[in-house]
Amino acid sequence: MKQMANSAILIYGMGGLGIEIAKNIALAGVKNLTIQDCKLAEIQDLGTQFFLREEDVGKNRAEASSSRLAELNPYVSLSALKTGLDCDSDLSYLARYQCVILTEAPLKVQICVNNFCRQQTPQIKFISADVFGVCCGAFCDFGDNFEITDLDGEEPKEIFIEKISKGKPGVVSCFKNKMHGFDTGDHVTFREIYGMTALNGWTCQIKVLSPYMFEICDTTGEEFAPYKHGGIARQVKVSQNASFKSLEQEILNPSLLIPDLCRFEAPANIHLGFLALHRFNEKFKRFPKAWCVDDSSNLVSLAKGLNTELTNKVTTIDEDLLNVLSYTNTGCLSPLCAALGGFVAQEGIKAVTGKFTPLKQWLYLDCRDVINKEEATTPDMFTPRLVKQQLGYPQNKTKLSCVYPL
Amino acid sequence: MVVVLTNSNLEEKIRIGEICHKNNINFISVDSRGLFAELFWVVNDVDGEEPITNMVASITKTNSRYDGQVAVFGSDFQEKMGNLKYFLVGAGAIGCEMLKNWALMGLSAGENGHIYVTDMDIIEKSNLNRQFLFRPWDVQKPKSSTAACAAKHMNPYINITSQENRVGPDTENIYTDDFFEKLDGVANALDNVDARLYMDRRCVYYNKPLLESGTLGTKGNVQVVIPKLTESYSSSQDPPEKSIPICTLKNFPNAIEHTLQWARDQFEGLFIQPVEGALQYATDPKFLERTAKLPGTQPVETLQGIKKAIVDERPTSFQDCVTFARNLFQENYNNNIRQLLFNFPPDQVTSSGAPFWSGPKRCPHPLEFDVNNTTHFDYVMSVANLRAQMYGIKQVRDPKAICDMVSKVKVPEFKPRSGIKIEVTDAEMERNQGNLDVDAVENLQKDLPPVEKVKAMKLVPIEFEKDDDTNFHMDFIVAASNLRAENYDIPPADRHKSKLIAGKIIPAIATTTALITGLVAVELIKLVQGHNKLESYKNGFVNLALPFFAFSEPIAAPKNKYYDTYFTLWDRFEVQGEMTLQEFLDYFQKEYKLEITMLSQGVSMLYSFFMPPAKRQERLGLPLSEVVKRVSKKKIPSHVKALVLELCCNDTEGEDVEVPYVKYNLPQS
Repeated sequence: MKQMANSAILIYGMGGLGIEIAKNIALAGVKNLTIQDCKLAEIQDLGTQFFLREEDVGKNRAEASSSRLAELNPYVSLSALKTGLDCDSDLSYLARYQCVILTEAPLKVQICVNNFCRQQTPQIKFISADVFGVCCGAFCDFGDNFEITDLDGEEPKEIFIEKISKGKPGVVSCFKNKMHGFDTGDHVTFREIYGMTALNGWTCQIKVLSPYMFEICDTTGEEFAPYKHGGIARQVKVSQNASFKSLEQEILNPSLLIPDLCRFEAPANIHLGFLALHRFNEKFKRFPKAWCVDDSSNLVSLAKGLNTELTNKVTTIDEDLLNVLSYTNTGCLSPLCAALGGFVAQEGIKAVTGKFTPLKQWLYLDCRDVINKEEATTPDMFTPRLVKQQLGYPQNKTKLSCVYPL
Repeated sequence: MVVVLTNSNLEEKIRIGEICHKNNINFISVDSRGLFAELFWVVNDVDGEEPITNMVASITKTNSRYDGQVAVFGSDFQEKMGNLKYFLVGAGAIGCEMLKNWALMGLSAGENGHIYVTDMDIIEKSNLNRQFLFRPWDVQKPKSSTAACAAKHMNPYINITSQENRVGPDTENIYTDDFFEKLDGVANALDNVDARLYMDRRCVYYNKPLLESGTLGTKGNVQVVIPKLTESYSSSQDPPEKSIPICTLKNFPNAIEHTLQWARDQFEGLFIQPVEGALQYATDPKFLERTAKLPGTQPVETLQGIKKAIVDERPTSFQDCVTFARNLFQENYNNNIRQLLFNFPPDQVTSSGAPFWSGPKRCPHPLEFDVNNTTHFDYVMSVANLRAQMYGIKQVRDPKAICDMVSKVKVPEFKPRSGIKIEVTDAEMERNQGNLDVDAVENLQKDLPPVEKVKAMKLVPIEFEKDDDTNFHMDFIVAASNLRAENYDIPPADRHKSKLIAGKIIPAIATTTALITGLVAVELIKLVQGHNKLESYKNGFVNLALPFFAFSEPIAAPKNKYYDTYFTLWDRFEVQGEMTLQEFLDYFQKEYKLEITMLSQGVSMLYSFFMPPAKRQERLGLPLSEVVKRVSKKKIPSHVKALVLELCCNDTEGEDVEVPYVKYNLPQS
């Protein structure tokens, strides 16, 4: 964890999601953690932002939560920035961070920051994440050449050797038919072998023949004395390089993680929905209103339009899901902030340590099941049309609209 | 002039609307329903002009902290949330995160809501990097009250009570029928399977939903258990961990796990069992009788252990303790190893000609004691002090004083002997299990000092506690394990690593915990919403290192049946007491056509078709609770409102059938 202690991470947006990410990264420990936000705390922030109190309403969210965040880990030097981020912002200050995490940022700003991060040497690792109502999502771009030192976090496996043949390639048999549990392509190292001592300290890539046997290097050479007894083969963690695409490229051709195999199409649909939300916001300078049918049908048609722009089109557009996303997008659920915040923080730690395989490149989670379909479908069930028809009003004269106090 | 209808049904609306329409009365109807906090439906019908119909969907901004949630679920939901009563078992990593989510969501923030949180642990410094409700100045305070207090700071409106009880049969007088019946659900935030199984049983019995979760490093899982719907936590379980073979522990360790387990066993045998045995002998008059009935050679071993502890090797001074420690070092790390090498020399070959010391058998070498070697010294220091504590002798923590005492010890000469058998496999060991020497047992019994004398010895029982750095427990474990590791050329483990391995602890990390508890809270919302379909719920498994997610529908409770009646683990017969045993048998015959062949409560057999007729006759006429009292020889505690009875039954054809258990409600006085 030496890398952690030398890294600097910036988290933008100190809402429910931002604070969850910041909390987890602070607990894990980095050298410098910066939280940035230009928004002032509102009362409804208290439903997700656990380091804000009633008396903080009206104060800058980053500033107001910084002292409570700082208490978590005295080894982390924490700073708070009150400035906002837009496409005209001078991004040069980001150069001092190894990883930048954006939340609650417009898509255009995400793209600007991502492009800036990619232009730096070394490239800055970029993450963006958002929670919209019953859906949430995260995106990772760790640059063109990211080194992963430990792919899975598992303890290296170790087995006792029964026999090593002299051959091209040599074959290792496990002691007393114990399964080795290795995979083809794994690297193993040897020690305490009697006889074929040339192998001790040697590392080679293996090919699995059976659960009890695997092939190693050519052992026919003179330096390989015949095997006598003993010896232990141990898996070696080998680093691997991963290459990421930019946000702009990935928007049109997303690499999606499928968290729920029963809902194979959900991530692609939420991806489309999130793009549509951003487009909606750009067009109307606001997000769709809660449970508003008009806004939701607007969002669905935006999504359908956007789908034609994608390289990899969504085959079945899940209108139900898009509607629920539109109805609920202004809401914010603390469970989703916690779940995604935990996930994103781990990605941030991966970004600065190279430990464990990072997300390639989008994750979308939803909890649409929380909306009880029987009890509460769309406002259709309350449509006055039905009532008015029965009251004898002419149907075409009915004006149906969403009126919102506030 | 105006008629206002609130929350009326459609028929009423139409009827009154029509009347208003005909009579030119302004008519307003206001509804709040389901998801919609407030749904205004307004018909303003003036002079036959076009009516204005406005539908105002949910978000009347209430300007409250819950607005983000209300926008999704409406204010009805928020009210339900506020009035929930939940029991959180554990205030560790998951517990802290759970309380954060609950506080934010406003669980228990209403008039009738309440959170009960219990955790018996106190906060350790090592907890701080993942249990984020705790601060450095909270170390040594109880977890539950500190966490409750921190959650209350996040949301001052929640109602929360913190307790420091371990959940289990011992606390059923606290977590009573009344307690459970009031609850809406239980969330486990536990770190061990036993407590999880126990809470699972309780929740099944009281028909309460259980939110179960756990993490292991970057891995985590969520399971939701819903009454009448899903299987329970105990329905499916991971296969038990493989235990280490005894011979591996005793003579052939090949990994640090083995030496640590050996050290832990040594701790048990040196500092816990002798005192426990002696105290039982001193306080329990039936101890000798019980010991004699133990299987195999255990009676002799147990009595020998006690005799050694209180007669042969009982120390009277700290010097005695040091002498014991120094000699124990010699025995474990030198003499025994030399004996082993005497039996199996390094160049020994097996019957098939292969080297004996190969593969998992690592050839050991003996250690020579060196007082300047810190591990050697730590070993002597910890053994001497623990032993002093056992016997109520004043401890000595001054290293120099102990050094002096060590130098005074005369270590007896040891020569390996032939004729000592050392088993190579566990199977061989079982075959060589000796027979019990009855005479030896009798002689040992005679050799034990009278009970009064033992009582006067002021023996102090020790309980293993890994987290106290001043009690010598971990000092002993680390030194004992690493010395043995050196014997066998196994790489040693430092104190921290030893603690993790010995406790089989994979440290929890904040990220996984936050994610998993977030997923738990999503399932909680569904429970609050009253979802009653299996497919609405999700069990989840996550590994952040890969990263990998897997969600699946919970598994339905398996169905059994007798005659044409289906039942699951959630079903039972409810019988209102009091009945005599005879009436009870008749009741089942008459109501369910079931002939009870055996009836039991816990470990007490109340009735069986093969019991002696006299006994049966006596019991049949007694009320059931009386039968339970007589058989178990225990009173039924006053907080117990019902007894759980297990049945074996025959159907009308005399075939054995499987049936649910019986909840026998005791009459309420």
